[in-house]
Amino acid sequence: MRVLLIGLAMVAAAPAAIGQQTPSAESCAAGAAPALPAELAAWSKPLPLKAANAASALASARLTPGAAAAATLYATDDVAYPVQPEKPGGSVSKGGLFELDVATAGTYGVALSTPAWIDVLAGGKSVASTAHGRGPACTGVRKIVDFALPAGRHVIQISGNPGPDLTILAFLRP
Amino acid sequence: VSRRLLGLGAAAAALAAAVSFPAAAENESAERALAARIELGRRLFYDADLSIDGTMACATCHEQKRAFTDGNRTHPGVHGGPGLRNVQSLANVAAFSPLTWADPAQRTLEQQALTPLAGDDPVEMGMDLSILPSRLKGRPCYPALFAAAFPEANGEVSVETVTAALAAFQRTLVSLDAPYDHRERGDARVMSEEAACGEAAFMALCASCHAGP
Repeated sequence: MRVLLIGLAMVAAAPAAIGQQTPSAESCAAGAAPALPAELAAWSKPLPLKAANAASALASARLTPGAAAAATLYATDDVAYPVQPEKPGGSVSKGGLFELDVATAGTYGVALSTPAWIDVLAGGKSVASTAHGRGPACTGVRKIVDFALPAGRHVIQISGNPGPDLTILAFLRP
Repeated sequence: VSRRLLGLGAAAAALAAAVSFPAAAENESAERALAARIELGRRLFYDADLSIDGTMACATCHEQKRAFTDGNRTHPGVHGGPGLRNVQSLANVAAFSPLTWADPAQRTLEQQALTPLAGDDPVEMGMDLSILPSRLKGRPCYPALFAAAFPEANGEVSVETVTAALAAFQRTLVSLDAPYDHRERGDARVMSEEAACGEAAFMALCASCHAGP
């Protein structure tokens, strides 16, 4: 029998940044929508965008920092991820790829309307997230994950989305 | 048989080998099936198709790189409902019985697996167990894996075989190499002073609940 040995010491050695949390649902009273911070101002006016299902199709799935997209995704089995997502989702989930052009190096938040998993690839390699959390209450921003990104063209991989649609917005942290 | 015949010469040894061969073959076959069951369980553990919408695997909360827990206070369920308890590490989970404070009646990993899979208080993976076998049968990798893991059940894909495989995998999650373990084996040098202070505080404040296996 193969036995997997886990040193408990590795708990102490775990990186400070913890894994992406999928914040729990919130109950919001009907009425005026709460104000969004400036960096999320475009959240309520997303433009339609079809995700890519392979790296070769990324040019048609480009995100602009600060602009929200109402994206449609593919069945997970139909997506060829350049890098295996850390949490790939099952065959009944949805996923997709986006291209993100970063003109200014910095910390970028990636906001989603769903609890899907986000991987960001820079230079073809997955970038570790630096923080994660919820969006402002009752705005429909389900989660925001931060990544420290260099200038350049990067890939955002979305995996494990519960449905075919999600709103996505990448923005430079002030 | 072979032990009783020891020292009775080559003929007796040959006889012993002949007599014990079926048992040895049976053991070998059982070991192969167990290894296949563990491998199947590992695959299932990481498969988000065990949740209703394909978004959560066992490993979503029990992350290997974090000693099979996660870094959050609680983890929401598949529909976004809040988690009630911190995610339990699975290190040495085979040695625990009962398995949780929430339900002391849960004494086997096979039983316990049903709680995250299909429990409703809280909903975690939200799986409809009636559709789980057909969903897995539809995946090309699984029929052969179940056949190898459960030859006695003709490779049946069922809730019972799924939970048996998950349990077999979890029983391999063994941690015996931490400084604490070394100290328990008699090597006092491996515990730092800070760890020793932490142990004293843990024993005074925490150990009545976190008693360990």
